[in-house]
Amino acid sequence: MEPILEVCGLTKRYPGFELKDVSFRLEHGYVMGLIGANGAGKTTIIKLILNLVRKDSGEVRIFGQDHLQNEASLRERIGVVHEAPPFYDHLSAGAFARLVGRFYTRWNDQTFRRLSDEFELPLSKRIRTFSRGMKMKLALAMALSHEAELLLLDEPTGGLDPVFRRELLDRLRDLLQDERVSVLFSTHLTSDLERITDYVTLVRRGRLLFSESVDVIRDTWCIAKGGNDLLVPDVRRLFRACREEPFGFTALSDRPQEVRRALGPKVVLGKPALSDLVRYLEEENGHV
Amino acid sequence: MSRATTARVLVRLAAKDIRLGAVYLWAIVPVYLGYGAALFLATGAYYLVNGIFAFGLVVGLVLLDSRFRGDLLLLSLPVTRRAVVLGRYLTAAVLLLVAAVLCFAYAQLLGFLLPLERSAPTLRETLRGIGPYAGATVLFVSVFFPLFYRLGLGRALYALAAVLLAAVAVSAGVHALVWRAGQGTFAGYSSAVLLQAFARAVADARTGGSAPGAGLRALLWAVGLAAALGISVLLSVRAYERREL
Repeated sequence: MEPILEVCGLTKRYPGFELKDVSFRLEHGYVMGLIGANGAGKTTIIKLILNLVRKDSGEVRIFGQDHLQNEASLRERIGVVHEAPPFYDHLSAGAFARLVGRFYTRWNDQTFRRLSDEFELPLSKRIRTFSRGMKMKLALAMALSHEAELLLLDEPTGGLDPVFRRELLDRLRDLLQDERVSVLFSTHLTSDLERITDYVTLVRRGRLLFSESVDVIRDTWCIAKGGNDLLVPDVRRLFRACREEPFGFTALSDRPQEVRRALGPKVVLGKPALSDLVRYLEEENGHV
Repeated sequence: MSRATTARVLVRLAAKDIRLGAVYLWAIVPVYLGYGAALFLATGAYYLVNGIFAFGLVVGLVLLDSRFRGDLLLLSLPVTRRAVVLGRYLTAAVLLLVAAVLCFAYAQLLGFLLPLERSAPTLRETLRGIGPYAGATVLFVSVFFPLFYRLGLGRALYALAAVLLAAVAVSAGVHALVWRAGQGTFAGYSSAVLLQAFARAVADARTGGSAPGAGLRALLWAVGLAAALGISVLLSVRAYERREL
């Protein structure tokens, strides 16, 4: 089966920043987390997919078609939530949804009203009176109301308090039970992803570090903890990044079996959280 | 995308614009009531202000849409960039029409209410009167949109102001030359052909179009405008297709 989204060798140059040779693919019915620190290039990737900015080179295929061909009909099948969603906020939420809904041939007003009820959105109120969380819920409700097959969510939880974030993610997870929808979810708050993502694509300073399933990542990467006396040069070479503290080191490695062989029971090996991966790899210098 | 679908999208885009600006359109009513009565007594100024009013509406809507980051919204919807641009031109046309209708209706109302010796202008007289100014507004829009799509709103307004100043300077220069030559006419100055057509069209409107060659001048004016509009649309679409958000 053809992937829903396929990005190949995507490159974009800005003065002072370059997104280079990014490739990944999102299969039908899966959730992919696009993670990385602020400024890593996540939003640029989403904008390139939507052709909001022009790529310098590379290829983007959505539903098996080049993203520049039949752009409008492709967007009919995509739901987008931007980091700061644009609204005509002097209008009421209901009026805004009617205004936008007219552009979709598959807009379902019943679905929108049901989601608005679930999200407790007051449709008669002007959007400018909404909190950031409510605006995000409105954007999400709209993205899910035209039978989108691909959702592109750019930092949908950014700036939300933890309670609201959890609620939003729970709602999203419930909605994604229907495996017809595939999701690309960009965030720097990796804890948000742990519960809902199937695949993770990590970018750092415009470069792709990996794009793998969560299971593969858990098998590939490890966190090692041990005494500082173990950190001889041959051991250090096994680590991608290492933090030394007075009481011992903590290191990230993508060679868990070699670490086990070299250090045996002298180290404690564990599975890294996504946040550990981002944090350690952000500190890594020139290793990739 | 079929032509019917494109037409449907364009109408939706224009409807979106009108809906977006509806709240602000009402704010114009008191302004209209305020200036209308006074300007109605000086027919030319009345039509001129209506032309400016229409152009102001277009710029105001663009400003409003930019403020709400309408581009980002629209280009996330199933709409092509070309349609966004064409929809904006359609909106401008609708606003121009609204201004013309308001102009006529309000003139009728004032003619009915005010104890004037002359009667309110007929539809034909109104169209004659507003025609040249509507044409000038189309010309303004034709210059403004490519600048807007290429430079963004702020710089486009500065550039438009610069274009206007240049036009005024050229116009003043031509006037000075004509005056100095003591000819009292623009004849012989080919670079001022549009200006000439415009000035004659205004004069024709005032005299009821009886001056010789009025039809030809109107045709020349219309062809010039159509060409300017066509080039404007092409440049706008091209600029917008290259714009990055």
